[in-house]
Amino acid sequence: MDILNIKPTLYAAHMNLPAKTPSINITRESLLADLKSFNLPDTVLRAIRLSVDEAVTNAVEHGSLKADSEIAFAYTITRDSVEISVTDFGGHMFNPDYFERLATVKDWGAGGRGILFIKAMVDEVYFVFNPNRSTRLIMKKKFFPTPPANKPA
Amino acid sequence: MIDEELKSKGAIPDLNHSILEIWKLLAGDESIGVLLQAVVKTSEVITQARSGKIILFADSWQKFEYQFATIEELSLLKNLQAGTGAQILGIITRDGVSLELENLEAKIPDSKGVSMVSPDKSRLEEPFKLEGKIIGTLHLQDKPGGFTPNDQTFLQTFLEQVAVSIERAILRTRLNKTQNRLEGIFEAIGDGILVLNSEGRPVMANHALQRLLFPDEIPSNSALSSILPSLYNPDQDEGIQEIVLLKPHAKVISSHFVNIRDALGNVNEVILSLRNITSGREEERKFLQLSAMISRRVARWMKVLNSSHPKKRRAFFKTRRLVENLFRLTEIKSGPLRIQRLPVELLEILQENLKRFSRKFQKRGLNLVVNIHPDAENLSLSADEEFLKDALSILFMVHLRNLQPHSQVEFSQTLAEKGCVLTWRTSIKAWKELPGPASLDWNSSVESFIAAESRPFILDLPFARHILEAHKGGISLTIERDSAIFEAFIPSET
Repeated sequence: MDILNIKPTLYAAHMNLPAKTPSINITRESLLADLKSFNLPDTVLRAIRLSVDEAVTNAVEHGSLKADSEIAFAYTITRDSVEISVTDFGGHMFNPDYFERLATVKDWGAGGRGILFIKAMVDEVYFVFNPNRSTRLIMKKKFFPTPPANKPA
Repeated sequence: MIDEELKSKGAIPDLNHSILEIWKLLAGDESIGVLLQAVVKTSEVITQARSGKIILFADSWQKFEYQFATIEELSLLKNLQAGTGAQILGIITRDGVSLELENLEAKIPDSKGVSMVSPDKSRLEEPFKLEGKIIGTLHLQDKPGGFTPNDQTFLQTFLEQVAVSIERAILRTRLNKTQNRLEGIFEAIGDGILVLNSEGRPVMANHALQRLLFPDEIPSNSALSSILPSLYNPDQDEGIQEIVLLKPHAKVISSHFVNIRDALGNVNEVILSLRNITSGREEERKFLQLSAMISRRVARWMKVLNSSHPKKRRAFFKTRRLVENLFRLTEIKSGPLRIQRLPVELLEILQENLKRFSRKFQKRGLNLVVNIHPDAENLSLSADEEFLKDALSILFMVHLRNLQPHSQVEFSQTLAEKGCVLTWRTSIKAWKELPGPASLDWNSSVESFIAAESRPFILDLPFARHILEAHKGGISLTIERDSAIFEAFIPSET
């Protein structure tokens, strides 16, 4: 990969919303509306819908101590993928790996399942923590899976 | 300026050729040694001298980014210099460049920086300047017919022009050397280094960054383009972030940025340093997970264990408290509490707690005065009922355990904008040991325990705070004149 040819992602759609439950619907529906014209398979749409729900729910629920804070939701759609960014402004650090693994422990409770789902449903998942400022989750979903490399005979 | 004699002898083509050759060398980025030899040769041709040399004195040959002698030769000369006190001279002829030890017994006559023709016109000496200082002398000998003032004038102009070009050549060589050194350092650093231009686009990256973000097993991915906008902030001079490349990399990276600004304060470039801290975080994750799982398991066991023997019973309860608090610590340390929100009736939760604690308060000789707002009946919340009950229970328990007998607690519930406030008011004198605001902070509680092991390890209040913060509420402790007031704010909706 030629690093010097890489450009930072520019999001075509960007919205700031209250960190409240109704924002989950708004973000999901906005993205799905823009994806309609791509005639994507149901499985792909379902994966995108679920991962957006989980990501925005996490941001709304855990992202900030204050009830009147905001979240930022952005996405960009290309011919073969969608990249989604969800940012909360709580600035809490956590270990996504820890929560994901806890979610696999029987009887532990609800914690961590969101991250587990997101990881299963999209192709790339990145977190950027700005201590005491923000937490940003970036997900990328390819519309069409990469065919596996041909195995030698 | 060209000597008529030169013209008459048909020497002009040789002169032109020499001058052309030297300008070619100057333009062609040739080494200093080759240039200086060409200067001597051209001087000989210009003046028709039979021989010439430049002598560089007082170690001035070190100015040139050029190897005048091998390391062994230089070492030998320096040893001899130490013994004799003679200078090491740089000698340049048309055929070569070398270093020699000054012959103190047969010292070359020196014009001491002045342009000079010997009385018999057989020798010409012209000072050789570089960077405004005389660093040596051009010596020419044996011109047929003798050296003339024209020769001096021409050589002065020639050497001045050559000096300027040589200074530029030296500068280029030094810059190349510095650039090579910096590139070497850049690649030798184990951390990934990335330089961005003012538009946030990469202009320089080392191989360590390539390996970090684009390892062989995942040569193509969106990590850099996705995370780049979050890795720096033009409003700060520097900052740090932590990046978790959860999928597909499974790496944790610590990132540090520094903004390089121009004279007007605008960001010119951003320097990013990215360090792979995966193994450290992995260990931390393992510890947290192990600690959480073990303490959870032990807490479950403790609930079923019991003993009637008083000493054993006391030990049992102390151990149970310790394990409970250890579990709370791992919950607090792992991040925001994961709660399940469902509709709950606040009044139901309050009444349950009040019923349970009224009896306990009575048993301890404490007076609990309750004042609930009539509208509490209609107040429903979206909350995790179990955790909320825990939080309120903790607040009642803190009072139960730490107040003197015959004290009074005034508990009230009032409506606030977007939620409700639960208040526990007591007299300061009622407390055996009045908790301070630091008791709401888990960090302070841990430090307090570490500092004095005899103190109990209790994270009741920090955990209650952790629960309420997960609900977007909070807890505070204020001292108002002679009253201690705990307040818990619970939002009614999110």
